[in-house]
Amino acid sequence: MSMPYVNRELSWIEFNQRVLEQAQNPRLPLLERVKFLAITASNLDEFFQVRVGSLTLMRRSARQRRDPSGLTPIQQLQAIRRRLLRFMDDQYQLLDELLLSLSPLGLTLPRLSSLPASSQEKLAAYFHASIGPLLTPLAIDPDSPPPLIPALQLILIARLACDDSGATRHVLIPLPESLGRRVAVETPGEAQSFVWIEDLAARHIGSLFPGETVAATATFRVTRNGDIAVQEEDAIDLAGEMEDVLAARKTADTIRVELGPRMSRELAKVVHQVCSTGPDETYRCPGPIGLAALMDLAFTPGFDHLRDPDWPAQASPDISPAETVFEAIARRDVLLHHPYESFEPVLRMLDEAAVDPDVLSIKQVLYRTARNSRIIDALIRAAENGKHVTVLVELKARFDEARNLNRAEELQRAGVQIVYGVKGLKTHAKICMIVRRETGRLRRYVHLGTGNYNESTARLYTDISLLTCRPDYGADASLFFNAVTGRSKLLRFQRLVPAPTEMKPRLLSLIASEAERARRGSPARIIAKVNSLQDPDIIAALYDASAAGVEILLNVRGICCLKPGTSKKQKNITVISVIDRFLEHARIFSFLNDGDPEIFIASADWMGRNLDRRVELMIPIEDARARRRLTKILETLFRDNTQASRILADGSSQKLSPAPGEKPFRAQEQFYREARRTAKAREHERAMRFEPHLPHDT
Amino acid sequence: MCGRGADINPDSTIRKREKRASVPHSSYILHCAGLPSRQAAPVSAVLLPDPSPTAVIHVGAGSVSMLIADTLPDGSHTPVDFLEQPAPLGRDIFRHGGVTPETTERIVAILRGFAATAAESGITLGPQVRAVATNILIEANNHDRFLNRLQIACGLTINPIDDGEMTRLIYLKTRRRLRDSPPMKRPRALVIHVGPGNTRALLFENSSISRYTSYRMGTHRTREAIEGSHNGGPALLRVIRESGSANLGQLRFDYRDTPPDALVAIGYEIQQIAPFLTDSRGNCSLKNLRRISDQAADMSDLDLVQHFRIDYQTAEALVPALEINLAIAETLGLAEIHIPYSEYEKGLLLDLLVSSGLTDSLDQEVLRSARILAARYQSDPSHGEHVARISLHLFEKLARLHGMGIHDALLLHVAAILHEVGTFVSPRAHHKHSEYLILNSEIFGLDRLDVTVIALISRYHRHSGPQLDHPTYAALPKEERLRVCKLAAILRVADALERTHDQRVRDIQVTTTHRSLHLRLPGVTDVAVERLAMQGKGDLFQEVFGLEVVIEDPA
Repeated sequence: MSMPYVNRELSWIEFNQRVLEQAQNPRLPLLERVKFLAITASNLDEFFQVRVGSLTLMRRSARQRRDPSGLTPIQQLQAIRRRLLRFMDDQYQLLDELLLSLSPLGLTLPRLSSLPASSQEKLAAYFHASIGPLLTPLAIDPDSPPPLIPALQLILIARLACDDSGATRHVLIPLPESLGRRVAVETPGEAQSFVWIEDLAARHIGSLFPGETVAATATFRVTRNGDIAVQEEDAIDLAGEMEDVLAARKTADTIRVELGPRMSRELAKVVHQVCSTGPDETYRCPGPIGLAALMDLAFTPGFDHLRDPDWPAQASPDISPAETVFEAIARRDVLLHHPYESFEPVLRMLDEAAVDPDVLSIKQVLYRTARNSRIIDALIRAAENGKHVTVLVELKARFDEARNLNRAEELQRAGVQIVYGVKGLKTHAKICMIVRRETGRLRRYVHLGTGNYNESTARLYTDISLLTCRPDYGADASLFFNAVTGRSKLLRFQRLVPAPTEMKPRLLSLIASEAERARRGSPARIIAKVNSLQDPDIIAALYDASAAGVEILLNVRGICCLKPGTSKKQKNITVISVIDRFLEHARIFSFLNDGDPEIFIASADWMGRNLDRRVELMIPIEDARARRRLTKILETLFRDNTQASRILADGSSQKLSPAPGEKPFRAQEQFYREARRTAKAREHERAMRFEPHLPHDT
Repeated sequence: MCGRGADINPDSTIRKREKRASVPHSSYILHCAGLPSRQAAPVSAVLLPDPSPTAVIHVGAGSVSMLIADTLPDGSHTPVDFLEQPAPLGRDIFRHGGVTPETTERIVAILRGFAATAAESGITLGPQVRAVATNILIEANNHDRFLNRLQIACGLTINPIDDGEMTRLIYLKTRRRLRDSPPMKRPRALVIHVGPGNTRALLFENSSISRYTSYRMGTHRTREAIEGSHNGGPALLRVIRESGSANLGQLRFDYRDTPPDALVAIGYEIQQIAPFLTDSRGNCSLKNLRRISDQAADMSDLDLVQHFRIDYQTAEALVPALEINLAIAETLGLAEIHIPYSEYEKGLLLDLLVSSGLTDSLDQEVLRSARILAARYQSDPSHGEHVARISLHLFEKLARLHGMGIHDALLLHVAAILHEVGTFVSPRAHHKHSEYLILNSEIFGLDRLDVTVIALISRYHRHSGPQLDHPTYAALPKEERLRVCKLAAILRVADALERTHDQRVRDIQVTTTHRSLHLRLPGVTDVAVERLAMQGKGDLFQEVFGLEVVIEDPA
């Protein structure tokens, strides 16, 4: 492979490193830093399940195919391990620093042994009353198959010695997630202290084994391969097959075993025997295992002074509370920039549709939904009100499979027509279409977005929503749903650009067009904001465009396999990554197009999986005001000099900081301030204009 | 106008006529308001668009499609939703002679899906929805059972598109979407439609149709005919050429005297890959077409699917489509072919919404086609046109009596123009020759049933009236026989009034009593000739309408 290309797994780790740098950032409030540290850990758990799982499968099947960076699966696994060992050191070092800093501020996690006797007695009592009865020890019998160890759950391993014979044996005690990871210690005043549950359990499990003495304890946790998918070609009942896959994941191979602090060699040996693991899969943790549990600590009630001030979502100025969402959309396209602007209009549109007598049908794709989803409620209500409701529930949404199965059943019971995705492809497009009959004609209202229909993540992820009733967009939305529900083949769209059929060729053509302009000597520029950039064809096209003289500004939050650099191919490419309080998630692309920019939002990243193996949508933006706004969003992010990092040629990154004399600029804060200012201005305007209640017929 | 290749099964003539003239389309309420007396301008009509959305369905040779459209206040339609699913109907018909149960059930499943989509737009699929099938369906030995199955399963009454409607649709497409394209502005533009079973050619001279021909040569027909050859590449193309050579020779002969100077190719397959063939103006050089045809002939169906982004049914028929179009262009000595970039199937469905209710320009093309036919058989145009004027005058004045609609007026008009074409063979028994010649000709825009009715009206313009021992007449459904009787009765009266062949009857005053039809002929001083003629020709009128035809003395 002659093309400069960063291995995607190593690039991902660099992304996680940037998240960790947020946790290391002393300018951030302490509990925000704790939150970022927890995020790095939870990211890593998923990374192991999916990516390391996939590579492990390749290694076991002896596949030697090299990735575009030239590494075999074995080489990748080795490189990942080397890099992650350093990463984990950083994590635990930071944990110590953070806990040390939190302690004088009234939030402590002391060692159990350091507590006064009275506190220890109370904790013991708590263990015997509330924890012990819920524990189910699993005996390890050398003559029997090892017990099934639940994945990503903390396990206490203990060596027990028989009081009479002195014979020893080992038991495993899974600590149920429902118990939480922290147990509160009574403390005076407003300070709060906690001990780790595994420490408390280790101290008191002896009570579970009368006649035996606990000779040694330690904790560990296993991660299983999550890269097990339904063989769709053979699947007759996808829902049934998916249930089998979920069951299979519980017994899948262990691809990581984390050993807690101070685990003896003897106990480690037992763990390896039970888990069928070796040194390659083993990670020794110098502190508590499963730092994702720190998220709970970050949200400890009180301590608001240790967190960022709230940035509540603002109302969109384009939608008045006095009108329906349909009326607002009928007036003009509505563009929402979440989470600075509320997701409420999208929810309201569905709520209104559910009870609107003129609404005939609702069609929607659901990929990941919130726990108590208002969207699901609205869809159920609509079906109960006699609307034709069709929902594509993507059963293959990784780690949301079980929830989506339940959601699908719930919707089906209400009379919603359910489609479990498209065979061989994941349906990742974010689209909802509502058909209304208005004065005898059909009008389609469409929501197209970059983020999931999940009101919880819509408060945390930056995304773009477009609400429109343009007939050509409605026609395309209809074609899309007809295709994914199997009622029609995929036909030529007028405006929307679907993957896997059209999106990649279109992107390549757009990039090539800019390159052509540059060769002609015309100004040429590409600005793109994606979560990940991995597709080799797109990267090659960007290198060509750069060599042709196109100015390329890439804002890539996560994986970036493209190598910016100084060679002819790379010199015009700048890549930044912004990590801030909201997860950058919107995909926005802009092509200068001889001064008449072509601007798109999309559900897809520039990754092979999105462009070739998923059903996605790229949406051209036509409303002039919306286009200006998106351009401004793209440009604003490039002004960030506090939360942005520049991606370097080796895949690592360098945090940006204000140049001498330059003011600090934080893009997300700017977006929030603008949204608030606009909302206030609109509120003021409404307050200045009285709207009389008029008789109905006037 | 020459007619080649009788590709319509004679059975089709006994199909029940789709209601057209009186109720042109479910979306319209048409109020007939009488006919003008001098020429066959269309019946003026008040169109009241039904504002609710409507649907139309086409069961095609390679796919099943449905269009949902809004009806605008001006009566035009805006597409709202379009669905299409591949189904191998054409392959079944030409490979097995009938529709297989698998394909039947596949189409049932597709239509059920369409029904769900239609319901989401507030439309219930049922007999009120226009649903048509490709005209190759009538070549299937089980087409009746197939259509019955669809009706039972989906509640749809599906009628095969007949030849007349197909030509109307091609005409409509040309008028609505190609009119302003540069090739159509050339003096002689030939529009070629290579369909699944047949190829149709419409020659436009100065934007009007001057010739219409059809050939038993189509994409699926050819594909199945050559299926056994197992050839690929140049050998495959050679087999395609050989299988179409007779038709291509006929085409060369048909247009030897009026060589087209522009060629427009329309068709399901070729329009699907138009972006691969044409430049930005929709033109494709023969060199390019030949290159892509060669390339496609070397590819497997799977390669075609992936390369051209088409479905398998289209892939199966693609090489014949390319090669037939190329062969036609080469046969006519043209260097370039224009291929519209629009979606063929969607356009067809949109046209289907209006084609059955067409009058205006289409009727003029029908009449023009009839006149060209009359001229070919050296029929006296002055007589024919004058009988037509009188016939239409009577038709209008007797509207309450006969209760017929605008399309019947057109059939009467065409029959009047053509009633004496049989004299080309021999003046003796020329009415029978007229019947034969008309039956075996093609008149643009008219289906087989229409042509049969016109042939019989012409036959009965003299001598014996309709009788059940006349096979063609007897084969018609009862309502069509009644139509023939009514229209022939009027034509005979008109012909009697033009007995002198010198157009001396210029004005006719019509009155009726409960027993008789009174005709006054102002300006004719001696009506003896007309009376004598009426004695021989007024009989059918009396039998049909119960009124004796009386020509009154001059005032």
